[in-house]
This record gives sequence, C-alpha cells and structure tokens, in this order.
Amino acid sequence: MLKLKGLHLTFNADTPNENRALQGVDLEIPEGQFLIVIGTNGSGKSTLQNVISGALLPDEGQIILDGADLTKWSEHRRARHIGRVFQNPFSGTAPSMSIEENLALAARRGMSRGLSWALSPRIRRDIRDRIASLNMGLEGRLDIPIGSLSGGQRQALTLLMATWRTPKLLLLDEHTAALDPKSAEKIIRLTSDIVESKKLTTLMVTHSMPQAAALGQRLVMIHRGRIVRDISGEEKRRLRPEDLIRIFEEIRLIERLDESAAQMLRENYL
Amino acid sequence: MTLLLSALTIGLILSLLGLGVYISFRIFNFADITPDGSLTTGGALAAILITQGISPVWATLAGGAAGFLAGTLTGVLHTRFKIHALLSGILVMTALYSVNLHIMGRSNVPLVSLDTLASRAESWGLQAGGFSGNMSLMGRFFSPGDLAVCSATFIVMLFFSLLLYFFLRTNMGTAMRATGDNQQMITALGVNVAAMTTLGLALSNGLIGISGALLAQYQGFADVQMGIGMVVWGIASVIIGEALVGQNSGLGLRLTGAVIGSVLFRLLVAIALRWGLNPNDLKLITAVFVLVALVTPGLMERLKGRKSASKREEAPC
Repeated sequence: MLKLKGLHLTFNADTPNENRALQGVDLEIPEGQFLIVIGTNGSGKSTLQNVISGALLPDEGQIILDGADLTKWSEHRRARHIGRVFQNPFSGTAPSMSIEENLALAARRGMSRGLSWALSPRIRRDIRDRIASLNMGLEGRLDIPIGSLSGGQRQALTLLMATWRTPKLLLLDEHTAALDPKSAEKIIRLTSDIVESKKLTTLMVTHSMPQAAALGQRLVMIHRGRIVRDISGEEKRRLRPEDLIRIFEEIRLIERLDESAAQMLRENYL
Repeated sequence: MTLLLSALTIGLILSLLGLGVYISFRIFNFADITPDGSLTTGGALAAILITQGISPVWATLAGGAAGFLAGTLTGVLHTRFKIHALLSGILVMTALYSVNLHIMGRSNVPLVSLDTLASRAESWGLQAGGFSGNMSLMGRFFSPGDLAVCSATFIVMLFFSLLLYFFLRTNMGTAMRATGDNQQMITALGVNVAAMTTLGLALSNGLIGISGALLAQYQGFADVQMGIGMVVWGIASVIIGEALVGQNSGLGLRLTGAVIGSVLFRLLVAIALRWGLNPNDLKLITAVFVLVALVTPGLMERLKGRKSASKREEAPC
C-alpha cells in the first residue's frame, strides 16, 4: 500500500547545525497493516511522518501510496488519501468552531467544498450517531466550541475526524503523548477499535514501550535516520516492553563501541 | 436630526467596511491594511462609471469587483511570495493610490445631479412622501428623502450581511473560518490554505469596495483621500461590536456586532463633533481608542495574574 524508497532529508545542510534526519529510509507497508514506529529523540521518526504527510519534502527518495507517486504532491492534496492525528490535541481541531462544524469539515476531507450548506440535516444526523457511538456524552452538546473540551475528548474527536472518510493511510504522531494516563488508555483503545474495524493501513509513532509492545502487527525502530530493526509476525506478538528497552540498550552500546573504536583508531594512526 | 440620520446612513454604509475588516482581522487574524486603498478604488471606479452614464447598480458592483481584485493581489503577495502580511497590504495600498488617481483622472470626481443609488432612493422617498415637506417620526422631523436613503442603505447592508452570513455557513465558508482558526488542521483535511486566505482577503476587500462605492454616491463625490484611516475605523467597529455581543457568541451575532459597532461608532463621532470636537483630532482619537481597546484585555489579564500570583505566595507555609 505505502512504499517509501530511499528517503533522505538533511536540515541546515552544509552548516555547523547540519542534521541528517533521514538517511535512506526504505519501507513497505502492505494494505491493512498496523505498523508501530519507535525511536530515540531526534531519531527521525517524526520527520518520517512529516515527509509522508507532505509537511516536509524529502531531498531524495520516493513516496508511493496505492500505486500513486505522492512525492511532489502538496500537503493538502495528499490529505485526500491520508488521515492524521497529531501529538498536540489542540492541533487537530478548530477551537472556536463547534463540534459539529469540525466534524462536518472532516466529512469532506480532500473533497471539493462548494456553496452547499455545511450542516445539512443529514450530516448532522450522521455526526450525532457517530459521536454517540464514542460514549462520551457529547451528542447533546454538538453546538459548543470544540475548544472548551479536554485534550482527551478533543483527541478522540480528532481520531474520529481523521477516519470519518476511510483514509488509505492513517498517520498517528505520538497522539497520546500529551494526555494523562487514563485518557491515553481510552484513546489507545479507541484507536485499535477503529483501525481493526476499518482494517486501516496505519503508521503510528509512539514513545510508550507498553503501547509499542501491545499494539500493531509490526514494529520498526528508527535510529539516526535509518531503520535499525524491523520486527513482525510471531516475534512481534511475543514482544514485551522489556525487550524493546533491551534493544535500545544494545543500540546505544554498539554506538559507544563505535565511538571508542574510532577514538582508538585516531589515537593509533593519526 | 438630519445630522444624526446622516451619521446613521454613513454608519450603515461603513458597516460593510466593518464586515470586511471582520473577515481579515478576526477570521484570519491578518492585519490587512489594503482597505485604505481598496475603499477608494471602489468609490473611484463607481464614480467614474456613473459619470459615464452607467447604471449605479452596475457601478457599485464594479467597485466591489475592483476591491475583490485588490484583495486578491494582497493575498497573492502574502501567500505566494511569502511577503509579511502587513507589508503586502502596505504595498498594495500604496500602489492603489496611483491607480485610483488614474481611474479618476484627477483627485476628486463630483457626482452632483447624476443618477446614483442615493439620488434614486431620495427621489423615490420624495415621491412616496408626496413632496409634503418634512415627515414626523417619534416627534422628530425628517426629510422623507433622507429617510428613504437611510432605509435603502439599511436594505443594501442587510442584503450583503445575510449573503456573507450564509456564505460563511456553507462548506466553503466553514473551511474558510477553520483556515483562520487552525491552519495545520485544515491542511490535514485537504484545504489549500494559501488559496483560501487569498479568497478571504478578496471577499473582505470586495465588501469594502462596495462600501466605498456607496459612500461616494452618498456623499456626492469620490476623493482620492477618502480611504485614509479606514482600516483603523473598521477595526474600531469590530472591537465595539465584540464588546457588545461578546467574543464567544455565535457567528450571526458576531457579524451583527460588527454592523452595530460601525453604526454606533459613527453616531458617537457625530455627537462628539457636535459637542465641539476638533475634526482634525478625529483620526488621533480613533487610533487611541483602538489602542486602548487592544491593550486593555492584556492589562486586565496581567493584573489578574499578579493578584493570583500574590495569593499563591501567601498560601503555603
């Protein structure tokens, strides 16, 4: 479904602050797969999502979704096929507009927006039904500004909005990181419900090792702009949070070894 | 009383300016200064078309179209060439000054004894009033002609306000409001923020162009200076409107607020001038008024913050 070929992206190239965020990422996600992406801070996992969504353009490489080459598409054009939930719960909704207006906007994601009534009786009925199915008691208050809701409520609605029209790809960017543990748990349950029931091709970035171990059918670990581990199938099913922490330790150890080896070589030969 | 009626009529005409500024300033949070030029462009084009014998209805709409183009230009400068919002407006406004002089061919075009919307409304009012001299309303005397002009202005204002209200509730208008509210979100929902911002500024200046066209017809001339200070005027109207209806009220109420704010501001100015305010001080006072209105909420917030901070310091131990 999604194919990434040789993605490279360097920030501040040829300056002292040069940051090689992506150094050749190749990845293929088959249709309906739920992929988890983990990595240390600054590893490039958020950059990867931004390159896929079109918020950033890669220096090199190709992004192919369902056979179409999206590499040169603008961010808003890609939105036709991609649903997104952001880390910041405030990013996914228009705060001063009502709950139903926000959902009506999402109901036309990637479609033309003409001069017909945004809140037609039919879409209002749809919105009420779908929000009622979230069991958050919001269906009676659809006309209040969405900005008056809590972060968890807004994130649940953003998730509903991102998947209202079934996207070819769902991007979740640490979408529970800014929530309290209880809300985070609810959002995770909602996420796996939606992804499973709609069989969505999903790429979820997370900081949480328990989430990374429990969710998804495949896990990819990114380090210094490269994919360093790709775990799927039986191995992914047996994966526990401790295993992931151990893998992180290993990578750190290898890096330290590399550094000390380089140090030794410098001392001996220069 | 004629003075108040005239202030009311100008207030209603400038409420279209208020609505235009509401779009740029409140929906997009974009300090668009183009109106200082586009209001004149609307007035100038309408005036020159009327002197050429073109129907005042078409002349007014042409004034709106000219404003629409001016707004489009500001939007393109800002979104396409990444020029700072304020500077894009300044560039277009400055360029328009010359354009306006070219349109009119001189700095002032009189419309006396020509067929304008104002003269049509006036003669209609005089006919309906049966040339009976002044009419009495609530114990005051009005000329039926002036009253007809004011009512006609009200109807025109109502027409464009409703049009704007309905537009903002359509799929496109809802997306436009969301563009001003949260660009990241609306991009992720597939809306081209640059195009939407440009369209918003075009609509805003289109309304302002119509306002200029109506103003020229009402005052009986178009002048190259007529737009100066109009942005601040519009912002003042929007702020007064918000003070009246509250910032968190619904869309319809907020648009109504901008209209009422414009009328009220004009009436206040008329009364102040009547009481002997020096007209030269008018723009200074308007600017100070807007400054105070912009600064006060922040000051109140800080005062509150300081109070709660000192409470917090007292609380522990």
